[in-house]
Amino acid sequence: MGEYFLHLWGEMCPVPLLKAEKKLKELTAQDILVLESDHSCTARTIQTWAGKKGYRVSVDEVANGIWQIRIQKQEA
Amino acid sequence: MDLKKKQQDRYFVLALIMAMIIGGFFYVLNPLVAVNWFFGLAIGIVLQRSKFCMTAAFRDLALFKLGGMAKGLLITIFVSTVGYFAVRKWALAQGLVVPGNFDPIHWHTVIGAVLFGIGMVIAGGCASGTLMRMGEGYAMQWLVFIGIILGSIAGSFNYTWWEPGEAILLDQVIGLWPAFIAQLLFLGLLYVLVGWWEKRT
Repeated sequence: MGEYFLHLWGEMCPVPLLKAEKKLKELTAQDILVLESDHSCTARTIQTWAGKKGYRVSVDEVANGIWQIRIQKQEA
Repeated sequence: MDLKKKQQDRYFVLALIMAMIIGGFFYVLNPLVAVNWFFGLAIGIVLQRSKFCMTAAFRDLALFKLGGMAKGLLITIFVSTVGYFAVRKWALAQGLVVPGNFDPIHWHTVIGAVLFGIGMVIAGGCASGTLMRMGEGYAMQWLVFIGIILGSIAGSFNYTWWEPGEAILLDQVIGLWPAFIAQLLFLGLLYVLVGWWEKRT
């Protein structure tokens, strides 16, 4: 089980989710992907998307306007 | 860069007082402008809190099969159709001209829609989304806003050229009630289609 990080400052929707989707495909189940984004809509979109996929997801606004999103991949 | 979270309550109170003062100023000048001001602020707050985004409604539906925003948009049009129907009924009963801005559709409407669709996804927002994110402090959208202003100015110069002829209103062709029912049915159909698309793998 590994933890991976994607730095996504300055990327606007839909780029963060596209990148997350691509990265998550390479990961195996139980791996954790941490995303950091400064786009306000990203967190909510990724939360909804990950929820639909059945991935565990949590969002934390670590600073004003910076969101950290943790996604744990689950078995397909 | 300092990444600590700062309390912004003070700024909120400051902005609220400013908004009230500006609103009062508008009220003295012209009450209607004050009404527009407060409605505008209210809509802005709702857009920001709900992250309502026309761009996302189409983009996330197409790219990620996320239909929540698209359904929200359809419900918005549904509700405003009902409200606008009431306005029309009322206006007709009073013998007034039905208020509204009717534009004829043309082949260029389709081309414009495609251009706008591509543009808004690249720019990360349509007009309302851009304004909302500017207010949030997302500096990138200021660039987009300059583009919106330039585009609107360029468009306004030859606006009449793009609108040849009179708009045809559906309710003048098939009647008020049938047009109303048809629109609601069509929106309902789109809603079902969005739900089907979401579940499709």
